[in-house]
Amino acid sequence: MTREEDLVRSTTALIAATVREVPPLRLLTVSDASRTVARHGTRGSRGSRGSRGSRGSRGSRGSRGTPGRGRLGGWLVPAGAAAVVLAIALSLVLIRHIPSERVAAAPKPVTTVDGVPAYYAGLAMASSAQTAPEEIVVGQTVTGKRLATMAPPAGTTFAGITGAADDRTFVVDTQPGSLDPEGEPWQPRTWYLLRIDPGSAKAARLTPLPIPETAQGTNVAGIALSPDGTELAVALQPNGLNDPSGPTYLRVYSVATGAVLHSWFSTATGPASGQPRLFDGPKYAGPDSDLALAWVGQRGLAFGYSTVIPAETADGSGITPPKVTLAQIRFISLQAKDGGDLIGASQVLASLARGSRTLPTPLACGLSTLDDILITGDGPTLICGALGGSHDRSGNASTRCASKLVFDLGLVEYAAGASAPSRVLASYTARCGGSLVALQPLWSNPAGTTQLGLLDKTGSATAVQFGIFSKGRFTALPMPVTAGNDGYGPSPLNYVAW
Amino acid sequence: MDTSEAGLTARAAPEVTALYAEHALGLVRLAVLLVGDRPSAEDIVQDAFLGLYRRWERLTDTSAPLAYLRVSVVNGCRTTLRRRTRSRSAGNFTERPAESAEAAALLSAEQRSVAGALRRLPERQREALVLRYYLDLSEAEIAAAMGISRGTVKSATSRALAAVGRTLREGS
Repeated sequence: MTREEDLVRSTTALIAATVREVPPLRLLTVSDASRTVARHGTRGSRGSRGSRGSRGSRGSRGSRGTPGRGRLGGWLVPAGAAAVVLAIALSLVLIRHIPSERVAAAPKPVTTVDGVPAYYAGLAMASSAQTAPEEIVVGQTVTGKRLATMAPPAGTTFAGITGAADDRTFVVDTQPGSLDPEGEPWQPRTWYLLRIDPGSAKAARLTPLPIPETAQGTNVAGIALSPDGTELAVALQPNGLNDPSGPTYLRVYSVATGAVLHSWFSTATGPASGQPRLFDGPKYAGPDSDLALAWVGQRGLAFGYSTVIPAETADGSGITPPKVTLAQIRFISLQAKDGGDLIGASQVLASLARGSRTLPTPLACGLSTLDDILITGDGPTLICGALGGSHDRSGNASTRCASKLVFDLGLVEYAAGASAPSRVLASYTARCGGSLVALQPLWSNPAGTTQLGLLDKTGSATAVQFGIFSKGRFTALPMPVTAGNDGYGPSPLNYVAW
Repeated sequence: MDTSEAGLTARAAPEVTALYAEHALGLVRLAVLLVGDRPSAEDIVQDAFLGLYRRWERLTDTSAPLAYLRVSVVNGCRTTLRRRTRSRSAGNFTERPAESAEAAALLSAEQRSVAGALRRLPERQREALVLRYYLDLSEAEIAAAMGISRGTVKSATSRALAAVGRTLREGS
């Protein structure tokens, strides 16, 4: 058996072993539920996922991941299952009939929780069809409730979304057609201002922006709207489709006029092994992501920069772990010389490259932070989801994270220029076992005392929870309805903005 | 003999329930490897057993229900994957890891690479590898489960292994 075969065997066995139990069979609901479902053309759970519009790679775990709302009634007792199916089917009909740009219902006043934004706006597919466009969904953060839905301009799909600090102003971009992976890649992007006003007759309003349309073949790696909503930062590679090693730019546009206010470039990056990478790390936040760039107040931008070098034995046949030589969050000031080299004009905000993993391993942020940059304060500081070492319940450290073992994870803060956390905001213990999302902060208040994010302490993808981190505690909230459904995606909430 | 629908259902239920107890875990694991997430995998397996239950009296060979279920699960996984818009662009940006980098950091680097390579394989090649190396099926069994010829199984497996090898050597 070759080494590849050996590794495929051990890896598949390891992944499979994370499933240790299955829910009971639902056979007894067949006679009732299947007839009900047949009239609606879908099973409850499938329809639910589809209509929630999971964008595959963004994934919609939908209500599955929501605490207190089980899968199809959480494998309810048979007597209740048919009713649950019917209820879900009916609710789907209602959801699907929410007219575009209309308010579903006047929202009740929301109690503010530690400054958590009252609303979110996210992208979700209009239907489960592969060629369906993405639409904007506006929802309530604390209740998860959908408040309004807005279809994209005819013949286009929304591709990305980023928000200002006021919880009302967003910028979205569109591309022709759909995001169907079999369609033409990297279509031109057109920019729009999105203003939301939940509860009003016009809950969401879209206005074209004068920001230049990108050319066919341009890779839009990241977008970030400034906190005051006046400037849009865009990381892009104009000829990325045909020349992935070509120049990469970071540009800041005026939202009002479309003028380029600042621009820097880099020619040292590329997709080949060993070449430095900009604006995305190993997790890859996705095109048009608002996670790969972050504003530092109004005075600059933070972005990821990394180099991973593969390692091989002398004859090229052996396999050893790749070497991470660079894993930085960098900061560039708007005062930096315009038109210059991005790397040369920027400075290290935090260095995340790990040294040798000695035991016990303290909490530290890893490479995936490059794909999910969360900056607070004007200092600035970086907040990230961190991992520590694995150990058994008695605290005996282990180099492996096998079943029956646990590992430490938490939220930590890095001060500017630091290579190690300066503060642990929260810490948890999670079971080893192949979780898709361990801990992902998605939003923070300026003081860094309260965050929104995802947490999974169980090692089960079904148990990823959305909620509030505050004072060392995690309070679960309903998952936003735009949550994705794809297990391959590292996060179900990559295209939601607060 | 009661040939009404209710009668058929009554006879099939204990049989199918027993099969579920015996094989559901393994089939969910198989589906997890093919579609990447557990909720979908559980749904797919439920559907497969539901299909078996509905067709129980029409199956010509109820002595081989596992083969039937395996085909159902593989087909269900294909349907699920095709429903998803897996990626939106070309080039290396289509690659997405199955687990967070943090979680992956707890696994061996080689296993992370293999998991990534498996995820990026074309559907058919991934099925062939999983059926061969996870389930240890023979070429004939894989061909039956995938609905393809043995020759195609051989070529899909070979290409998939080559792709995994390339990924490992590139260290991505």
